[in-house]
Amino acid sequence: MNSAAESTREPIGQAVVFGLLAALGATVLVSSFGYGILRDGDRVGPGLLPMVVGLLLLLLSGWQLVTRLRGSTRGPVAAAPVGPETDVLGRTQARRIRQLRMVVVALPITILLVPVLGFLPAFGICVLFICAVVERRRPVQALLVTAVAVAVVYGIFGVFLDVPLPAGVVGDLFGS
Amino acid sequence: MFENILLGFETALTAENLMWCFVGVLMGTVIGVLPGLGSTTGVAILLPLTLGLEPVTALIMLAGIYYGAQYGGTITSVLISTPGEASTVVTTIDGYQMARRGRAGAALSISAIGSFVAAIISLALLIALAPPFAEFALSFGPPEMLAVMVLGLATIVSFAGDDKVLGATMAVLGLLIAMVGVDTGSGVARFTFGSVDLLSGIPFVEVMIGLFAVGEVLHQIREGAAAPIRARFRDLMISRSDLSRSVAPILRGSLLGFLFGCLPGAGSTLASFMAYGIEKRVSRRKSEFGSGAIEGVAAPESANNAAANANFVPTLTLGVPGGATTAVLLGAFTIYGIQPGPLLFDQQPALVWGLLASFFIGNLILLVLNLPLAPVFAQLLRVPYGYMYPLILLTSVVGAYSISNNLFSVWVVFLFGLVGYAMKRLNFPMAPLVLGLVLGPLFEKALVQTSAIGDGNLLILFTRPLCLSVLVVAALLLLGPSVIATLRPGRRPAAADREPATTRKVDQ
Repeated sequence: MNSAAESTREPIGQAVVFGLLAALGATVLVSSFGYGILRDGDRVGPGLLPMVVGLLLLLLSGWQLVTRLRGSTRGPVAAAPVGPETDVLGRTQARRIRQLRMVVVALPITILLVPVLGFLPAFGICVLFICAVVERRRPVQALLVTAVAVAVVYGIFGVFLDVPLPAGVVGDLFGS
Repeated sequence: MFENILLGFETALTAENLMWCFVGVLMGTVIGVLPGLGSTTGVAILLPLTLGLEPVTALIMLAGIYYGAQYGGTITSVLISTPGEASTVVTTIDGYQMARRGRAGAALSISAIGSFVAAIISLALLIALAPPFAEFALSFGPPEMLAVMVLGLATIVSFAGDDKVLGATMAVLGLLIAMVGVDTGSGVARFTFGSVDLLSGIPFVEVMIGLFAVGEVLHQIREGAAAPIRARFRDLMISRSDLSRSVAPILRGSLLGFLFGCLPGAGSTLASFMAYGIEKRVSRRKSEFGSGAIEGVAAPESANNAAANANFVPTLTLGVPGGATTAVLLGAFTIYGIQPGPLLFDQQPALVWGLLASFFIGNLILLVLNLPLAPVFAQLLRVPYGYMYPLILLTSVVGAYSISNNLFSVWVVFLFGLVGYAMKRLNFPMAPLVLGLVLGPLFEKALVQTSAIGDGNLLILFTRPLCLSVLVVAALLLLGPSVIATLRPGRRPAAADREPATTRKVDQ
C-alpha cells in the first residue's frame, strides 16, 4: 500500500468513525427517554445524563462529520504519520499490515479457544503462532520464546498470585 | 506536619515497602524504556500483581512505576526519538538531536538530575500544600465537586490540541462508556442488552489495558521498528557548562510543572510542552532549540516529573485524577477499598504520608539507578519488538483476567485494544476519553446529589460562590482562547509554540 492511498483513506476513516459516533449518540439519546429523565420532585433521573451525553455526542460527532465531508480546513484532525515504507528490520508496510491483521484475527480465536483448551495452552499457542508465523522466527526460537513467556506468566499469576486460570475442557479431561 | 512526615517515613522505610518501592521504580524505568509501554499501561497491567499486598505497599509500588516510567520514557525519546511516555514527547525534539551529536549521555544525565530536583521541589510543595487544600476541600459539597469535575473535563478538552471539539467528543464518549451498567442512584440497568457481565459496568482497568497496552502493540506492529543510538558509559559525563545552563530551566520547569500538575485533568504532558515553550521564549540561545539545546531537555523533563507528583494533589485531596495514570491509580484505590478525597488525610494518615514519603525515597533510588545505569536500560532497546510484544499481549490478557477471574475481561481488553489502535491511527486524543470514563460515575453521583440538594433545581450551581467561581474558570479555559483569537484575528500563535500534530497521537 502506498502512502498516497493511505493518506486518502485516513480522512475517510475519520468520517466513518464520526458517522458511527453520531449514530451512537442518536441511539443513546432516543433510548435515554426509556430510563426516565426526571424522578419525583423533578430530580435527576437515570435517563438525564444519557440524554445529555447522547445529544452532545450526536452534535459534536455530526459537526465533525460535516466538516470532514466538506473538506473544511476548520477542525481538521491530522492523521497519524504513516510509518516508514521499510523499517530497520526490512519489513515493508504491506508486510506489517499483514502481520497486524494476523494478530488481530488470532486474538479473538484464542479467546474462543480458552474454554476448550484452557487459558495458558490457548494463549501459549497464540504466542507460538505470533513468533513462528507472524514474526517468522525459527521454530526453536519460537518455541523458546513461547516456553519462557508461558512459564513467566504461570509463575507470576498461576503460582505467586494463585489466580485460578481456566483449565478448559481438555485440562479437565486430563485432570480427571 | 512534622509528625505526619515522620509517620510517612516510618511507613515507607519498612523493609517490605522499601523493596516494593525499588521494584516499582525499576519496573517503571524498564516499562518506560519499552516502546509501547507507558506509565498508564504499566500501572494498569501490573495492578493485578499488587492485589495480595497491603494497600500502602501496593500504592507505593504503583506510584514507583508511575514516576520510574517518566524517566524510562526519556531514554527512548533521546536514543530513538520514540517517546516511551507521552510526557516525554517534547524531549525528543532536542534530546534526540543531542544524541545524534554524540551527547546522548549528557541528555540522559540532565534528565535524571532535572527530574530529581523537580521531584524534590514538587514533593516539598505537595507536602506543604496538600493537607491545607484537603482541609479546604472538606467544605466542598456535591455542587462544588460537580463543578471541579466540569473543570477537569474543561481543562483536558481545552488542552487536547488544535481540535477542542474532538477532545470534547472523546470526553463525552468516556462518560457514555461509564454509564453502562446499573445506575447506582435508581438501580436501573442501562445499555446492558441483557448481559449479566455488563450489569456492573464496563470494567475500567480492563479498558485501560486494552486502550493503552494492546492498542499500542497493534500500533507498533503497524509502525515498524526504529534504529536506536547506543549510549556508552563515558558519554554520560556532563560538563559544568551543561549544568550551569540547566539550573534555571530546571527550576522554571519544576514550578511550572507543579502548577499545571495541580489542575485536575491537566496531566504532565501539557506541563512538559508548556515548559519547553516558555524555555524557548526566555532562553538566550533560542536558535539552538530544535537542534540539541540542553535547556530543551532540562526544562520539560523537570516539568513532567514535577507535574507527575503534583497530579497527586487533586487525586488525593479531591478524588479527581490529575491525568491518565493517576486515573488508573484512582481505580487502584477503589479496588483496595480506599476512597480518595478530603477525608483521606484524616482517615488514612499512614497511607497518605507513607505514599508521599515513598516519593522521596523512590526518586532518590531513580537518580542512583539512572545516572550510572541508563546505558544498561538502553540495551533493552536492542531486544527486537517482535520478541517483546507477544509477552506484552500475554501479560495484558492474563492481568486483565486476574482482576475478576472472568473471560469477559479479556474480551473487553481485546475490543478496547482495537479502539485504542483506531484512536492512534486516527490521531484521536485518549486522555479526554480516560478522564470521562473515570469521572463518569463520580459526575453522575454528584449531579444526582446536587439535584436533591436543590430540590430538582440545578441552578443552585450558580448560587454558590465557590461553585460559580470554578465554573467560570472552566468556561474561561474552554472559551477564552477562542474569544481572544476572535477579538485579535491578526495575531496567531507561532507555529513552534503549538503542539505538533504528530504528538497528539500520544496520550497525556
